[in-house]
Amino acid sequence: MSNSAASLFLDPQIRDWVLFPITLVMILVGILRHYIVLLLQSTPKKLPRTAIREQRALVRSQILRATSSTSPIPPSFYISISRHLSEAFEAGIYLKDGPPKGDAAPAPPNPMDPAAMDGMMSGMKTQMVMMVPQMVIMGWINFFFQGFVLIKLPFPLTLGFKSMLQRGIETPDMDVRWVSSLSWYFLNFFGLNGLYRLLLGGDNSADSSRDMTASPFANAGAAQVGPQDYHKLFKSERDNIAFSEGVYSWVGEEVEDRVLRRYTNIPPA
Amino acid sequence: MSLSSALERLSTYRTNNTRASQETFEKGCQVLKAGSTPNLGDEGWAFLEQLALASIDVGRLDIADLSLKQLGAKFPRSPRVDVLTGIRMEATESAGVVLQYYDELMDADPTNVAAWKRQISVIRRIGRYEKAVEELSNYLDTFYTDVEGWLELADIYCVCNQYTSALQALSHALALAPQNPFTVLQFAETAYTAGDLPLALKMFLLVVDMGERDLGTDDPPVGINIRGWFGVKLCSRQLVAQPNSPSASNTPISKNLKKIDELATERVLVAYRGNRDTGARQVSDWMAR
Amino acid sequence: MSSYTISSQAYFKIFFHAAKHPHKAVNGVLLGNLANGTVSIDDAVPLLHHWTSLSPMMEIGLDLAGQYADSVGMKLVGYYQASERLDDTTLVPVGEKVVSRIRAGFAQAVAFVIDGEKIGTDDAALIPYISASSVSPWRPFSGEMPPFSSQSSQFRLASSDLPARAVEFVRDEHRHQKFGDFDDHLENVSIDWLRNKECLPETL
Repeated sequence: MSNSAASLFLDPQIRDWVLFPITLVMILVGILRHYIVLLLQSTPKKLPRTAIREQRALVRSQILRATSSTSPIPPSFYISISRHLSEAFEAGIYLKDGPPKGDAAPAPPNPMDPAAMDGMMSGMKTQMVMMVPQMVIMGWINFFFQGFVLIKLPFPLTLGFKSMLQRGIETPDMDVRWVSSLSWYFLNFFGLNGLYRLLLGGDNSADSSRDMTASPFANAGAAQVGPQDYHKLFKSERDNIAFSEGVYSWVGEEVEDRVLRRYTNIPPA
Repeated sequence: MSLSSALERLSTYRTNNTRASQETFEKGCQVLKAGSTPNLGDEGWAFLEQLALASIDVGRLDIADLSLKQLGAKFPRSPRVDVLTGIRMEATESAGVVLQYYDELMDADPTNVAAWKRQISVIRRIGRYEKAVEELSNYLDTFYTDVEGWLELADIYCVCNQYTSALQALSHALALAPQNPFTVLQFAETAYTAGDLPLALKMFLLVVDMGERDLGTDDPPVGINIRGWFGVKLCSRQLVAQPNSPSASNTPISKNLKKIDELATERVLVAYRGNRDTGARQVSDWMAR
Repeated sequence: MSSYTISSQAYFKIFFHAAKHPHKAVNGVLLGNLANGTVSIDDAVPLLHHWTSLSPMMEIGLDLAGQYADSVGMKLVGYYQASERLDDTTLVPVGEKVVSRIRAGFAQAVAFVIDGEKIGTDDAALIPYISASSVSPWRPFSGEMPPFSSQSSQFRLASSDLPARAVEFVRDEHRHQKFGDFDDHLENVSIDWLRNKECLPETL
């Protein structure tokens, strides 16, 4: 295994016609991807008033509950708001289609609901835009730049990498540090993120690290989040409201003694 | 005043949402005359909006129209410019015309919050309080977290002497901004106006409790706390004289009421330490009554 | 019915109060005396420009102003207000309550509402409200001669150039900026709300 002298000399034309073009192409494709994603992103559809109201109704009880143990609201007012919310949630007043009519249980949220469909479609479109150029470039490299060594990595690697990094060059003895163009592609794939961040700003869509983290989980997550069943959510919120009523305490209850204690010598509580 | 300090002052006004219209107008015109608006970049547009509003306030509609034209040219279909146009219309057109304009804006986009709020303020202005209350309640039902909206609702209720509803609206404002002593103070004063003295007393005490938490016990009350202590004294004095005052909210009266009364007297008088000519004598006479 | 004369000091103070808060409702009380069938309104004490529909600070201010009036040999004789809207000239319910209370101690009590459309011109721009008895409602004065129109009408200014002079004081000398009312005093007790000496010109 030669790890010493016999270094290979590469034709400088390889550098000019392979190394730089691959990098250049990847940079340009990355930028192109970013702008295509921007164009594809249709303006988020405006929700009608009723839908906004439904989405935000839960926030009302959350706000009330957030400070319930040290609430500035006097008891009679707190209870009145709390009861009103509880009844409204039970009756489904905040649902965007109004309270359920008569005995018919409200229909479970329609998975084919147009608004939700749009959301899923745009997600898939973005995924496609990410994946297609990568595959095209990989194919292009495999086709045109196969069978020769491109660069020597500055760091040593174990033999295990030989099959991956020297694909197409069947030499049992060559140092693993000599790698093919495909590995240069992978190096660029991971390395250009920094450059993209510089050129396109932090939140760019050319970032491949985003793809890696996003793809396995995005589809699963999106399917769950989907169209919410607000009626169920409202009903379960009632338990939270009741609990908060239990821990409710008004800051004004002992305020006289608190203030007196600060300035005079009344006996401590 | 130099140009750069004028610009700085205008920028501070924008951040703090100050309505010093005469000053804003004068400084704004100074900037306009110096011809440096194009050099302000993005800030320049916010400045034009600010100038337009100030001009409408002081009655110089010519300058307002000028600014509006520039903004409209730069941002053709902007909802923000549309609402500014509406405000300009409010200055000269009849209420009916303006309300219709806002109606159209909201048909195009039912979630145009700024247009909805302007519409409500116009309805209030022409004296249709019931309709204003109805619209504002609808608005707050959807956009619950708008504290300003709840305070405005409370104000309208007070003007109509519906104090219980005002207090309910203020309760929502309290839930949304529990650390803001001004809301507590407004609640206290509203409760007093409604005749619920025990509730008012407790809320006034909460104001000074919040405000003087970090104060040394020897420091005089400042700012909102002076008002708070005055309120405490006003309530405690009456409650001491009439211990069976009714409370619509069933708020109990502390057994340390007399001590509170004395403490309030002391605190207010401490506030006047060092200020003998600006009414201190009247205040101490009032306390002694 | 008695006639009423508003002194320069009272008029300027009312004007400065309104000018300091152009887009807010403001209110205050009037001090003066009854002499020979004429109520001479010699001074004004400004009260609120904030939360004018709420009563606690108004009540305290009223009490303190009354005490001050006693100390300078005057009485509380009336109430004034400026409305938030220029075209609104109604006496607000709070105003009615206050002026009725003042009436309990001074039978010729009067209320003035500033006419937002006319203020700033040579017109006095004050609309008087009177009530025939303690149970009648308060109505705008409608007599033969319009108020403040000449020296023989029931309501007069001490001199007819007061409005013009007031405009000058505000526009050219910005005297209204030093003016402070009870609301201001409650934030900073060094503000001399009862007298406001600093903003008055030397020669009234």
